[in-house]
Amino acid sequence: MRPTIHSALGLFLLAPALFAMGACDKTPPPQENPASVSSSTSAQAAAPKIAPVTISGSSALQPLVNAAKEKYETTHAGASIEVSAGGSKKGIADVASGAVQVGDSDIAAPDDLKSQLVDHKVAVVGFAAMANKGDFNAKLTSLSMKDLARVFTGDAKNWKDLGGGNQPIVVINRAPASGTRAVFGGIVLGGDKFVEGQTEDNSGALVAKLKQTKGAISYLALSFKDDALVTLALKGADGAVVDTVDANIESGAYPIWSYEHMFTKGEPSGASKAFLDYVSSPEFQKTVVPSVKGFIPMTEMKTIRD
Amino acid sequence: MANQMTADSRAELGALRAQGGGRIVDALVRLFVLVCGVFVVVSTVLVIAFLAKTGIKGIREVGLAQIIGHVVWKPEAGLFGGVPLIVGTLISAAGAVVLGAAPAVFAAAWVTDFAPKSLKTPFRRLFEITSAVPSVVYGWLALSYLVPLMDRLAHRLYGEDAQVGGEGLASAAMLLGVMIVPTVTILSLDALARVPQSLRDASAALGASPLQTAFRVVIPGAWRGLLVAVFYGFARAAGETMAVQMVIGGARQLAPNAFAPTTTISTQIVMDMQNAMPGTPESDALYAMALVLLVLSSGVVLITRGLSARRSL
Repeated sequence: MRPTIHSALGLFLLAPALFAMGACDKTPPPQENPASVSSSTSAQAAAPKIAPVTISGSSALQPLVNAAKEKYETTHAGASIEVSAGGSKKGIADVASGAVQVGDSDIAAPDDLKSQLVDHKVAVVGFAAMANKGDFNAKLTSLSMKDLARVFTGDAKNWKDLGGGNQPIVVINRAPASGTRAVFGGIVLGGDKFVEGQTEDNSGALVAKLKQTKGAISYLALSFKDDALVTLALKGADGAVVDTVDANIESGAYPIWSYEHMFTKGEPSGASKAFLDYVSSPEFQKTVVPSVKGFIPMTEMKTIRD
Repeated sequence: MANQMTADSRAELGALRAQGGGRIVDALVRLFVLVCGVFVVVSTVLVIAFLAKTGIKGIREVGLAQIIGHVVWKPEAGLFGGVPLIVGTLISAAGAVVLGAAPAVFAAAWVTDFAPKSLKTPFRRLFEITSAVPSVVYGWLALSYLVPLMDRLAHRLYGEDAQVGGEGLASAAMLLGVMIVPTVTILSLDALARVPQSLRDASAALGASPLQTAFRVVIPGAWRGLLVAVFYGFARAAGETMAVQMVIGGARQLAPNAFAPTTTISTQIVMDMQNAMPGTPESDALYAMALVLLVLSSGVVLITRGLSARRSL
């Protein structure tokens, strides 16, 4: 009888893991490596030794978390990290409810959860307006903050209003749960004042739509920067163009960025503490973070934001 | 031991089992079937009960007037106007019926009464196979090929500068039309096959041409069954989620034309559920919309039931 009880228990324990896999983000971000496949087998093998660290949330942060997971699992025998993306607000909700041990987010915790959640800032990510590439914006490489606001609130309806060719603007939004939407809206529009339009619920699908839809424009984390899209730099009030390069984000000259947070419910302990210690270690910050497209180590930031 | 057993002794053993063990096996099988039956019924009833309970709670919180009367769906601002969702669902499903179900019915009529007999079985198999194609495949194909085509058509119709695009009701209705063809065709074939051969023979004996027989005898004789097929097609189109979400655009607004992004009930549930923690008004309002969808679809199914119950053929 005992073995059957054990296998039944095993099934019960396996079920949430299977569910978590099913809940994974539908599109892998561009930087994703085969680690996520290989690690699921190592997770099964390692399960009896150390309980896995479960993580959910921001899809913008996912490429970095995947890189961290890959390094961590190879250097820490028996450790396993399970990552699923689903949006920043989901990450915060999941960690607050205890569904996962670590919640990833592009945005700070809401006031009612601030007392429960401990914030670990692990990197900085820049965001930018990205657009479909065509003759209509061949000469348009930057937009002012004011013009960006006109585009995303729906005031500007044609690329010729912005100095480009005659082509209607198609605004594509991220879903309201998106941290990218919250960050970009907060900094550029002063809140979620986006014009209603086409909506995509993850960054990967959005990139595909931008490539396909003539005149389309949206906003993405720079980790999704793509040569087949136009990434718009920022035109300052004095006409100087501020590019989306790391140096400009580090100095604060390019303002559309956010901290990437990993939240735990209370102070972390055990396996999740070990993983978070690794992610904030100088080794990870100096060698791994700069190697993943779009991410800037916390240690490089010369400007601080609340 | 088993190797040495003769055919006779095995037969004896079987007979013994049938006498003594038979009743126990019988009772066990009966119990198993009963448990399965109860389990299936209870779980189905519980799902509907939960949906009804949470949906009604959502309707109470938000107000029925807002859900079926207001046009702004913005859960993050506490606005739950369901009109764009309901209208999007109804129009895309109705469009699918016009574009997909009507041709499917006539195709079934053609195969039943006009096509060479040898085509019948391959025709049926073809639609049995296509009805098993996952909706995400349909959605992906539509996104890659139909949407760009509709985008060009939209700009041809409304002008190059117009705020129109490939994503919207036109693409959704066309995609859903294609998706419901297999279901409607198979159900129509069944309905037409139920028309007795004697009626066809009688019609021919009166001097009617095959065309006259088909349109004056067979189709009128099978009309209830054909209507059932069309309504099932409508219900399937209204409930489709994945494929529609990929081509409808997901804008929470009433579409000014067939080439502007809008949304449906199922699309919006998929988009918003990640942000709706259980027990919050956002979640309850989504369940209210799910209940509206269930009422719409089951209403159609109930009408269908009523029609098929009175079917004479």
